[in-house]
Amino acid sequence: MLLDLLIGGSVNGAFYALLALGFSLMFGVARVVNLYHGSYYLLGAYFYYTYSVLAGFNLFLAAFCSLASVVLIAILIDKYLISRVRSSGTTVMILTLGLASFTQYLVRIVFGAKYLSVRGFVDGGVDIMGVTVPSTRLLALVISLVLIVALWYFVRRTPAGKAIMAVAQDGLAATYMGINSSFAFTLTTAISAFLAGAAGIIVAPFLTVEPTMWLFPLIKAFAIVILGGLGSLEGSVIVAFLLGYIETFVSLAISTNLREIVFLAIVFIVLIIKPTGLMGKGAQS
Amino acid sequence: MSILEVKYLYKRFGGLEATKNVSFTVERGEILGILGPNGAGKTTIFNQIAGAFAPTSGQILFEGADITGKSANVIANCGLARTFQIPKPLQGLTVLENVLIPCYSERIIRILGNRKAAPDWARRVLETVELEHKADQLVDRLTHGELKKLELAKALALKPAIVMLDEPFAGLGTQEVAPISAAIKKLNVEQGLTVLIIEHKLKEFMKLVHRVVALNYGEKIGEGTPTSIISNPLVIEAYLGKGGAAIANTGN
Amino acid sequence: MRGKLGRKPLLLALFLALLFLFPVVYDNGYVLSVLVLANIYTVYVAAWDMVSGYTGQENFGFALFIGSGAYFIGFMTQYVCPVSPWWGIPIGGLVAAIIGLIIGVPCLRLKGPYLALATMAAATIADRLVIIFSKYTGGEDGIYGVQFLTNSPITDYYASLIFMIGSVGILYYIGQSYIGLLLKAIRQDENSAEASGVNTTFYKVAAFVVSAFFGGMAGAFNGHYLGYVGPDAVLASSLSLNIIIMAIVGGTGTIINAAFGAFVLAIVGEYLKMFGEYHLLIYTALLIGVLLFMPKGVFTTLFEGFSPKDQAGLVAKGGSSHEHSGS
Repeated sequence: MLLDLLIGGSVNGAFYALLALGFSLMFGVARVVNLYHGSYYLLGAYFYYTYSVLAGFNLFLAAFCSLASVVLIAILIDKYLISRVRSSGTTVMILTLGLASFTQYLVRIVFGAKYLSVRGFVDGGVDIMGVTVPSTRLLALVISLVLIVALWYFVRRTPAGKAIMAVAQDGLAATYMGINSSFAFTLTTAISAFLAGAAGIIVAPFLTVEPTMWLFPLIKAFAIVILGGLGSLEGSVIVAFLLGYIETFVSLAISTNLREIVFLAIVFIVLIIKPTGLMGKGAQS
Repeated sequence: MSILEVKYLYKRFGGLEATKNVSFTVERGEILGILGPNGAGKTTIFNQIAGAFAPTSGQILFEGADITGKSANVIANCGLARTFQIPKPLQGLTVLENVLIPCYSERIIRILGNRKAAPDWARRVLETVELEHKADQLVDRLTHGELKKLELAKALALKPAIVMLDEPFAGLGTQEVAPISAAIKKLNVEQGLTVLIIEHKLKEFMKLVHRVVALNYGEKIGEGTPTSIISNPLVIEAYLGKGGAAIANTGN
Repeated sequence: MRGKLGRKPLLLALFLALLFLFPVVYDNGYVLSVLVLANIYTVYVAAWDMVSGYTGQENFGFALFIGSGAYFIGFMTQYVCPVSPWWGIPIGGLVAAIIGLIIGVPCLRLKGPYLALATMAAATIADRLVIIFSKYTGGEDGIYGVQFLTNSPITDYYASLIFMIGSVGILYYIGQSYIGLLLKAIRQDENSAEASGVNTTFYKVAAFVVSAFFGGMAGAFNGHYLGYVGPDAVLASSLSLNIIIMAIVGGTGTIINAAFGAFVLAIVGEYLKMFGEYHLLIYTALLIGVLLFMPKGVFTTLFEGFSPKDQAGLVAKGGSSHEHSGS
């Protein structure tokens, strides 16, 4: 049971971390609560299905094209839609939520409402200490961790990454130091969509692919980022894994139904006690 | 009994000691000035007295009652009003509507007896600061000087026993300063309004105040009449740096 | 307190007169039912605007209050005895008001995305609980047998019209009074309002409670109208989202503009159903269009043209955009 918890929780946690990190970056850097984020995840999965199943590309090519497509859409939306309403936080939230609904309905018309099945990169299972773990999940875990580490490296060690974090800390000051904040926003949007899209691709083989799949991951990413503290990437990762383990635990030990409520209740309670999240850098302004 | 007593006020923010055991009293009917270079902690003291946040330790008595740590709206309703350094008027509303906010406080409604009388009282307050003619204009159109007058009006609308002004003349030219200064003086002389004022425009400041409390780095470094404060070596040093007293004396 | 309203009251009177005369001219059961639903949505949205438009605390889970009122009569009907609308509606409102108090107090310190998340969480928890405890709550199928509002579509229609006009009227009146002014002051600068002697906590909670009260009443009204209470009708997150969308499209901060937004969108939404599959797509596309091109809301933008107040690029009274995160 413990092993199930560890592995299951880790897979979930890593997956949530991927989603939460992108969301957190968007907020920290571009100061945008992008509720379209869940849709990048959805699009990642659907594009992957389109390229690999419908177009018959080989899996790597399909993955590559899917990511490129998602990132392109993200940049276009940011440039032409979100930029028009950036001054009002609420309008951005509503607009992106509206776009997400639009995407859902569009996808339903094009692909139908039924669950789609997508082939994973690998088959079969791997034996770890007596437990058989499906390879797709293991691969998902590995890739997630690789991406998380890559992001960490990018943000802390590369000039471009550090520039982005500078913009997150103080946009005006960063501009004075020669950082092109508009480029930073675009880069952040791209990275954020990339991570979410990647999450969609790697879990597509074993999680459900259907038009409403964007909503719950979005709420969870939103909640994770807020609990971990808006602006704290480390906080997001920690809370993501915590959530992964708690959810798996509740699923295994109590009941699958309760696990969402437990999560939401925790979210609510934390917000009341600490309105800026567990590791928050304080509310905006 | 003094109208306001500040005793051993101490405030720390994490590692920073913003207020270090500051004590002073304010006598009813006087205009007390708070002097000090930027960062000395003047606004922080105002904030603690007015209830924006609580001091780490110390006591504040207003008309004999302990108001330490009470919330801002409770203190305002007791008769202690304050203005803010940077006026933040309510956009999209008229001047009258802005002044009406304090007019709907418990304190004023109790004094007036009836909510319908609030707009009249608001207009009278605007007359005091010579803004009555702009009552129905949107605040978005006011000049900086008029916004400062509006700040003052909002404080006066509470019919306070003591008003704390945080740099009421900041950003104003001499012509704009004069009417505000005159209004304050008039209220003090005619109605016995006690005033606590932070200000950097020393000429006007010195003409207005009866007494001064000088601060530097969160501590009180001097207290007395305007003339005695100017010649206080610690005060001079605070503004001119070490050895400043010597420079100032040779200059004289 | 406001200056001249221009031609607005006249238009409003005309519009209401039309609504009253409508069934006399056009007695179609389906159309009347659409209008009843439109009236109910209008109350939802007007109630939402009281808090979210005025104090700037956007409630992303308003369905919680609607559901509270609705399920109150649902549970009464199932476990005690069927409740008459005369009791059900006001008491449903009171139940929701209590829930509003319970939620409102902890949420006092929350703003912007934090509040959005907290209110969303609260509403979703309620929704889930209803599903999980299906045995007691009727689950997805809901509770049937709720006493009907009246016994004919026409009287139903007039009841909904009066309910809508009454509720929106009261909310509008509150918004225009000193209370509305204080709420707006609180939204723009809470510290400044406190320094002016306003008990911001009291007003914020009061606004929450009043908003919940009307939401709950409308929820109960809905239950009596349909004779049924179920999560899809009164608790779904899509309902919460739809309310926000209607308010924003109409224009927040004045009650009336948002109310118009709701009324129109409810009808448009129904009308779009003739496009079959595509109707939700078109609905959301319309909303996105409005958000991009008329961010202050359709009716706020429209009425600016009618009002003789200065328009030269100044923020419209009441319909100001929300500024939390990002500004």
